[in-house]
Amino acid sequence: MNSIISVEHLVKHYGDFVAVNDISFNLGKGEFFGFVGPNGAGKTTTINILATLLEPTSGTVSVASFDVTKDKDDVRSSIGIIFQDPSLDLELTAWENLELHARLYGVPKDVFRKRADELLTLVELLDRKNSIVNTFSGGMKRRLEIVRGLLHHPKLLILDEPTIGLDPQTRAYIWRYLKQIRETEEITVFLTTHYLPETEQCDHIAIIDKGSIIAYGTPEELKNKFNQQSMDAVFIEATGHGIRDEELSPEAQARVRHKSGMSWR
Amino acid sequence: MSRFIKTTWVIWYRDLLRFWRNKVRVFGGLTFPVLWLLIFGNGLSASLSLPVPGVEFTDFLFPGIIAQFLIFMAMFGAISILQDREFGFLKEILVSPVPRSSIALGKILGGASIALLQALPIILMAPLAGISISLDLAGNLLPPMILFALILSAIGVAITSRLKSLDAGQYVFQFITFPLVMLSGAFFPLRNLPAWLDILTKINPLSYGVDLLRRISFEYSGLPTEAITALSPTINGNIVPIYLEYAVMAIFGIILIVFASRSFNK
Repeated sequence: MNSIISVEHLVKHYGDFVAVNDISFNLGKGEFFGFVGPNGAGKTTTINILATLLEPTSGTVSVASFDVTKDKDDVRSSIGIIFQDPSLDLELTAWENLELHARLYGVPKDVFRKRADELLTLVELLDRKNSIVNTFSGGMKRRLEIVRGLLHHPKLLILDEPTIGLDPQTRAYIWRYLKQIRETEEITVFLTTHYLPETEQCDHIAIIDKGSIIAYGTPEELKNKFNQQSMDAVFIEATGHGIRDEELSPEAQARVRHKSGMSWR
Repeated sequence: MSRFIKTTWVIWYRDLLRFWRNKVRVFGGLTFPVLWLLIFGNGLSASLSLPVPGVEFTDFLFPGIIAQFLIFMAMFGAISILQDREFGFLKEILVSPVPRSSIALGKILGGASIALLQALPIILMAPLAGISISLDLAGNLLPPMILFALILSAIGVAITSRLKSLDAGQYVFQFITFPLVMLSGAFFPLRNLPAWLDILTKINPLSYGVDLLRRISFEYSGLPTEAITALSPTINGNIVPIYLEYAVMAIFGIILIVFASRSFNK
């Protein structure tokens, strides 16, 4: 089997709420995949299941041929992930953040040093490697997170809204770096984004809404199917014009429910 | 196994690194025990006589302040898990291929080490309580201090890993730490208490730890030998021996660490 992600009949419930309702998709090696949908559609839930942070209610999910519920550590080693919200240690330097990551992923010291230097050079952060991350701008933090996500040579790079909150110049730079990385390494990319023009370069796009995949294809196929010129128009055509009232993701809702209570597992 | 030890070390190392970066924390906490000893201790000494002749309230209070400070600092240290959750770094740890129990153990050791580092300078205040200061004294105080730090850090990790937000942490911590401290003999001697209170203090494993610290510091303050055990907890009228006090603390610590190490399992 040559697929990096294989999702079959994935279902995830939070109590009565169905966050993901029987979705299936496959990512081939080296593929660049866009996973788009309105807020609360089930994107982050799917990512958390891929990253072993959540258990599926039913269905099978495998990453690099490892099952996400059984071979968790193998799955974790295969993935590099850039979360929607920043996840750096702000009190440490850029280099210390990378060093911690390398140790957690068991990257040998000499391999780490070489790799970190190369990647920091690529994203133009090498001269700032000994600065405390707290002094970084949003764009610099994102670039550092990209370096960190790639440090352990993952087979799959998950980007959960990687350009959210960044100015257009920084967004363009980030995409330039990612393009270079895709050219030099054999890496599969799973992207979620609300900036739909970014999905134009994807090999395939799946549009998810209310927990179900409602459209799948190459950017051209989707444009033809919905008879539109741009991905933005395709998205609105596919998911409707209404504003989604869901202010909180299902996870956040579950979190609020348990907020002051403790859940003894 | 080596993977387990390596991860535990990495998590531990990160906590110490952060502590060292934040210099205010290294000395900032020390005003608190000084105030307790100088103001509270001397204030109560003026109008309070202890059931043991020759023992001043400040002498009595000194080991209690060490215990109290360790309890609060270790619990406070565990708050860092909630900060990690709030600032996202916990996710970075949780998606990495490391044993969940090593994450918890690293956090327990990190919190305990920091609490210990913060509490050690209190020993320098010993002369204020009439205790002659020496390396010997420090060496003897260290084992029960380590047990205190580990126990409270484990309680802290077991709780914070299950909490979702920082503000919830504050309430739960107060609810747990205050009874533990108040019933430990850190503030008042555990003698001539009403029966219900007497039982509660004897159930509290920390009472035996506070007594260990007290026996050691009394030994170094030139008090007669009968004074040293005069405030120790008794069971059926017999004074609890030192080895049993150590055993109670150690067993309590092991149970809590095992319990807490399952915190991140999911």
